[in-house]
Amino acid sequence: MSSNIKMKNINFVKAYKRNDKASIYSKASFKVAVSLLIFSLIFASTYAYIGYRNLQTKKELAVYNEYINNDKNKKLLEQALNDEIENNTLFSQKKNMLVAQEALESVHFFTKSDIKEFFACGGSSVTISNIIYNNELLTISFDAAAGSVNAISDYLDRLKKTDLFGNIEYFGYEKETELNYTFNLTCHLKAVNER
Amino acid sequence: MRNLTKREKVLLYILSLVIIFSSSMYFLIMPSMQNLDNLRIELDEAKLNKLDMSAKLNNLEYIQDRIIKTKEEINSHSSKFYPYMENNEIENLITDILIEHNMPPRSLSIDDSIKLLDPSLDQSQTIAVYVTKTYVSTSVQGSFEDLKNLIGDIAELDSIRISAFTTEGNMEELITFSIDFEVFTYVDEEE
Repeated sequence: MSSNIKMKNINFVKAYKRNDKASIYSKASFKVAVSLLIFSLIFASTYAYIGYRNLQTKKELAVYNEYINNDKNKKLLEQALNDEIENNTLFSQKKNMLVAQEALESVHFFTKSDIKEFFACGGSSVTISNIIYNNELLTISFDAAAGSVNAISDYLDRLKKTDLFGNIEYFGYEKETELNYTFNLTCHLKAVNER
Repeated sequence: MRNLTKREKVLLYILSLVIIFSSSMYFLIMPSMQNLDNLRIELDEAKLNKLDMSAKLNNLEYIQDRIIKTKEEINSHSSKFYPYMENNEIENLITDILIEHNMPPRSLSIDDSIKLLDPSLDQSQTIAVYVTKTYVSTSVQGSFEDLKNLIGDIAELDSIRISAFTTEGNMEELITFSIDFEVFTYVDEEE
């Protein structure tokens, strides 16, 4: 009986209200804590992922550095660089040699047989004098004398038939005496590579 | 101590979010990202270095072969030219040639040498190996036959040639010639 009386004295509504308030507070705190924790976890996992990437990159870098810093490779690289410099220098020297070679070979100059061929064209009918030869301009100019006008044209034909000249400049003759016709010629020599 | 109001609690919650965000970003994420960026740059450089290095090492044998071949080529070309000569040696050479052909020189003058360099090469570079061309002008007396022989014989020589000549008189006379020579000499300043 006394226990029933005690029960009746308890204010259940009030107690319920108090409990409910407390639970509301604890639920809210829990949500806040959980949300903060999730928020923190997101950052922590991001940090962990970046840390993992760092580690992977470091490992990869170590592999490359091992190759680069290898003593044997370093020595070979030094040798390769020196060889490359030497090769470039030699290449320049070779190019200079080729330029000189080309300078020496590109311009035609008379050979022994060319000279014979050139003077043979005159034969006994044409005499040559006052020769001006210029290897750089590839020209040979001279005065000549022939016994007749036909001898001049024959001489020009003979010169043209040789493979020595690309162009022969002839501007006519002058009759000195009955059997002496003088004329001037400028012959343009063919370069070696044109022959 | 009084209880916090709901508004204060919300503000505190937002503040804690901001603190977590900013401190994580500032103290953890950003330094870590920076570190990763640096590592990536370093890795890219290392990759390039390795690529360059391995290419050079792979080429080493080829370059060494090229060096040997180029040296041989240079030797083969250089043998066609006279070795470097001082002016008095050039003078002796030309005088000897002319005397051999019965044309003792009356006068002889030597111009400054010209370096024959590839125009495509960097001229500021020190080039130790090259060929020079020296002009020598002479005045001689002789016959046409002598001149013919001289021209013929000079044409047989590799590194000397007649650049110009003029004659006065006809083929039957003993006449005066002006003969200009070009002498090519090989210079190796490395030796």
